[in-house]
Amino acid sequence: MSRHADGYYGWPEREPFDAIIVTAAAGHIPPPLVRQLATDGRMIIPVGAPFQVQHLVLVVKHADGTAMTRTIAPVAFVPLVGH
Amino acid sequence: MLVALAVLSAAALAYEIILVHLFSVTHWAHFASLVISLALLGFGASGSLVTLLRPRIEGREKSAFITFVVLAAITFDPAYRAAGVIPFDAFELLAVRRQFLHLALTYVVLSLPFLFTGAAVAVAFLAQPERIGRIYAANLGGSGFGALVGLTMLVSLPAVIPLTRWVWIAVPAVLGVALFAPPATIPVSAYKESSIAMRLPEARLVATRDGPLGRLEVITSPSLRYSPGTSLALTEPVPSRPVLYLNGEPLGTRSTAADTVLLSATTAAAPFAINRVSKPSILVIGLGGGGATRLARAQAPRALTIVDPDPRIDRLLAPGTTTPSDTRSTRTARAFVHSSREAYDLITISEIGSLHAGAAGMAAAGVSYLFTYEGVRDMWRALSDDGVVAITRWTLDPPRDVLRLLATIRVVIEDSGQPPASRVALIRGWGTATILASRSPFTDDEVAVLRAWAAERWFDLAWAPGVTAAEANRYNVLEPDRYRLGAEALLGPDHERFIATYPFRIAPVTDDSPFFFHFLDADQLLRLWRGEGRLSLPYFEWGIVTHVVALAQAIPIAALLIFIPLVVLPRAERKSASTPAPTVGHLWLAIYFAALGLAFMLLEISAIQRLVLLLGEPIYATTVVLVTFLVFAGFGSACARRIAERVPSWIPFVAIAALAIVAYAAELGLWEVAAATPIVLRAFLALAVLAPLAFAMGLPFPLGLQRVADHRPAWMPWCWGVNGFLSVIGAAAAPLFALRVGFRGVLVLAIVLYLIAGAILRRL
Repeated sequence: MSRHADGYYGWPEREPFDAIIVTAAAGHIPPPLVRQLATDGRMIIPVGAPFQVQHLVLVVKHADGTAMTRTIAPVAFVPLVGH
Repeated sequence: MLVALAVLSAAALAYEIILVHLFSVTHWAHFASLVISLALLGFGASGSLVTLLRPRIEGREKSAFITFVVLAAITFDPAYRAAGVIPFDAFELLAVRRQFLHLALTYVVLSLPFLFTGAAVAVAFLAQPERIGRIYAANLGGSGFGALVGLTMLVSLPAVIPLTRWVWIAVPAVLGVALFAPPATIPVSAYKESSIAMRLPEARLVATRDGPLGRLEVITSPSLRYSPGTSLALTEPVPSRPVLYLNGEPLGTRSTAADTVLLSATTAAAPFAINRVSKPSILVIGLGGGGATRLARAQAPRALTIVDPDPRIDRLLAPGTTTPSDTRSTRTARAFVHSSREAYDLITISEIGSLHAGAAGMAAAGVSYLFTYEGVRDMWRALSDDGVVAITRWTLDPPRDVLRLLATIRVVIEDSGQPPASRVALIRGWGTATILASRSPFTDDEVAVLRAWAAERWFDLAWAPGVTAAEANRYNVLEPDRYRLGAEALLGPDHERFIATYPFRIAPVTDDSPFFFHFLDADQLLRLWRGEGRLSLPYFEWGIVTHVVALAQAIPIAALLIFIPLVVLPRAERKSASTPAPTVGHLWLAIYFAALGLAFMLLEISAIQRLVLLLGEPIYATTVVLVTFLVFAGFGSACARRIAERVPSWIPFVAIAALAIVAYAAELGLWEVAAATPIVLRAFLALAVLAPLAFAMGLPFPLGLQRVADHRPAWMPWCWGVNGFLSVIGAAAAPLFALRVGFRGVLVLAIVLYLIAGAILRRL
């Protein structure tokens, strides 16, 4: 299934997700995507300034509802633009 | 001729200043200095050009002078327009090879007005060798006036548009087409953050304010959500807010009263978790989007003071961000805390600007006096007995500025006679880190509050008294956790070894070398490049690399253009019966005029960098120094012949050495006694301190050129060119010297160069 929409908001009707892959760089980690992660779910997302070196961040959701981030590597993605 | 020369020189300098400003807006400040410094090589090339053309010019100097004046005047506007047409984008230099061609074309096009202006000066020397001092005085004095005009125009410059119209007005001989032509523009780089924001859906530019501190813009879009380091625990989407940009880089969002929850979910809110005083006195440094002010007001402070040097930001913020009951200062933060008599319970600095600028080392070659040892000490002294200073920065990987701040805070606290480890806390999120430095030790209860506050937001309490390494790296995992390792070492006994072995420079900086954002020495950078290759590019400090690139291009170009006349001219000289036999080698001539060009710029550029402390903003320091140096050096030049008749030739050089030392000492004294006085008074005091030095610096060039005119007039344009080339090289090299040896080292170097020149003058 696919859907054309602003990726910032994820797909709340289909949550929770075991894995989310964001392939465009965001200035911050979108809270809706963290919320839509399942327990032990993982998200990778490039975070940083557009057209600059960004960091690929792994976000892991724990059973207690908290999330952990781990910086994986410097990367360069096109920006997340919305809509 | 003198009037025409002064007007042309004024137009050229005004043009140069505005080009730097416009390139800073459309590209980045360090690329602006690169492009313009290379274009200024046109001045040096003019010497070589006139030297080579001299056989044709001889006997027709007046018409040659007019030709060059007209050529300069009619190229100001087309050069700017042509630069706007060339699809140069500094950002693509490393990825798109043809951008090097575009860059070279931009150099060539923009150098033409400077080439013709310089040629007019060189021909003037040939035409009237008996008036060398006055010609040079007209050039310097006109340039000084042009600096004043150019910098004043920045205050009222309405947009990136009508630059050249002003220049045309300054050169009335060529008033014409440009006044009616469509406005020229240099496109803003597609990679600046404001450009990117404008490509978002439904993006609108809702406000623009140009001024001497740069271009402020407010952009809105439903997709524009600027939220540095906001907690992942926040469940709601970050709301869309208008974002403030300064020269294309974000300053912050225009926050509203409803944003308090969002603002509370950032590490910058950490100091507000500790309520030591019921009605605190809070100092907010940097308005940004107004978020810190809103957080501070939520504490119901008894006094709220906001310091931001840019008065335009108030007007661009939503009503209620600042209120009449606030104390608002447009002085710089450093000057404010230096002369503050208030004891603040909290000083908060949370305006962190662009991640891009911080991570890419854009500011590496720029001076920053707020976070020097003396700057942090000033903040420390402005705190109440239980006061806290909170500084928020981006989390870089590996960390640099946060660790340098910790190292600086350690020294400041130790110098106040207190142990640092118990007075520092560090809260780290996925995007930002906040350092808290407290005059009194953090109590166990306060650490417990911070621990709970951080955990609630999924932040890591990387350092606080009693916090273990195991609990410092839970939510935003780093391997290794250099924040914790750094805090442990820098606040403990192992700090010297840690600083010495860390892959970046993180030792505290001082006011003598206030390059806080410079973290990589040349040897460290080369080691990184050899080890990582292109992967090391993210760690390059582009603010410094561009100066090196400018030098790497300017030096061979200068050497080539200086060398060519050496090959061609002797042949011409041999043919000319009127030219007396040489009395001195080219090498000595070259060293003399090169030393003058280099030393002049070393003193001028380092004076600009030093006076940023006293005058607050680079634009004000640039105005005062350029006008003072050029105008008073012009006076000196005009008096050179009379002075030469009355004093031994070495006197001016020794006078420069002595006056340079006196000016340096006087600047330090002014900072202590006049930091709190109005800017106009500070500017006049700075002018008074520098004027005698500038007057003396105007003497050596005409004294030397007069000797050349007396014995080898054909070489005058060449000497002018050598001086011009080394002035450009000196301007690019001065910040690099200051990075390496500090301002005192630059001062010594310039003095040595002047003394060498003084010794050579006796041989000319």
